[in-house]
Amino acid sequence: MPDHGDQLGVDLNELYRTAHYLSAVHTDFEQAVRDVNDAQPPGDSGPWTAMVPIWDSLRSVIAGMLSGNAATIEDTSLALTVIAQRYAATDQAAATRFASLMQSDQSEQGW
Amino acid sequence: MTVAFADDLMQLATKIEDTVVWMARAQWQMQQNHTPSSSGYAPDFYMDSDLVRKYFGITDAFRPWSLLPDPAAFQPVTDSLLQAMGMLRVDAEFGNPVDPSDQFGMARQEFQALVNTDPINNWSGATADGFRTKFLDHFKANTENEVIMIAVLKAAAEAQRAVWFNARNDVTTIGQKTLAALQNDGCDQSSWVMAFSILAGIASIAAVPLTGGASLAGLSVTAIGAVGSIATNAIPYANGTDSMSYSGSSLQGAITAMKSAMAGLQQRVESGQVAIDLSLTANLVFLETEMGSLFQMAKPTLASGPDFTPGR
Repeated sequence: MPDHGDQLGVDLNELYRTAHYLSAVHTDFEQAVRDVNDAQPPGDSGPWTAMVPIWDSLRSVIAGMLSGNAATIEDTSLALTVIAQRYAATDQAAATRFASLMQSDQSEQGW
Repeated sequence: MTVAFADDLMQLATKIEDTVVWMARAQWQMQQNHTPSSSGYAPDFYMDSDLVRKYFGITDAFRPWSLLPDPAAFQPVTDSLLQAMGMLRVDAEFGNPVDPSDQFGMARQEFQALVNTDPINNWSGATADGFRTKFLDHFKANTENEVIMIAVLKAAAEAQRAVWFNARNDVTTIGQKTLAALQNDGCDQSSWVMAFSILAGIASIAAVPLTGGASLAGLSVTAIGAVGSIATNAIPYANGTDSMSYSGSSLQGAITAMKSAMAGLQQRVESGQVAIDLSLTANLVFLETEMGSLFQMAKPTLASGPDFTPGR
């Protein structure tokens, strides 16, 4: 039996929290992409190839992988937020409870 | 840093060259005076310092080595990669399997909460279950695998740094031993051993020793372990002492020994590059092959509706 009313509000807040976590993690992945892109090896010096060229190929595949995951995480966070909002729109009591829980998360956790 | 090394090396080269010029002239004069000498035949051009410099080409031989890349320039590279590793580390128990001594940060609290709990505990239905099993359950393993790949990249940068660091030391040693051999001219000590440090120096890091302990979702651990052995096999002297003996009992002999030691060093730099290249190639192939299964997060299908149901 699906929840409704007050309990649905609690469930929706769970989605909101998950979306919030994902959004924070998205930020971290984006930062990791920047860090990997910042890792620029020194250029060649005279006859010496300072870093084997394939290093940069691997670096850019890794950056692309992290960036792809960042996008997936962001999309997922948004999808969960939308789901929570859609459910809330169907149940006034749930929406009220959800809004109050969201507010206390925001004030207690500093979100 | 680079300038200091280049200057120091070229000063050493000049010192060797000046010694050779002085010795060549002395030998020629002894020959003119019919003084008995063990130094061998001194051709007439030995009296002309310009010709001696040109003939032996000592500073020319050292010049490319003075351009060896600066190992210190690799520090920002490894620092950035270590920072990226820390951003994505969700478990304090998780260390860098490539280099267990690495100290790096931890992901923030929200990240840890996401992977270490079931954040949608109150939801059921096929979509919610799919989200849990296909996305959330893999989140930690995917992320740790990604951290391992960044660690591989970092290890390769460290190996590359070691190549240049050791090449700088080795070429300096070659110069010093050449000078010592010249100064011992006529004595029995003019043979010398050059212990090359390059390949032994990179063995531990170029090998990318990902073995059974790595967290690669328990799946292709063996595959990534094999990557390590490819690189180790590519380093011929990785596990032993890599040295060559040179003897130069005459001026000619000492400089010939110096140049063949340089050629030996050149070969070892190239072997080091090949070892790093092989390891990276194998890792790149591995990453691209296993991208979908071990690294990339599956985009969950999410839609509100009967399949994504509040309550369990």
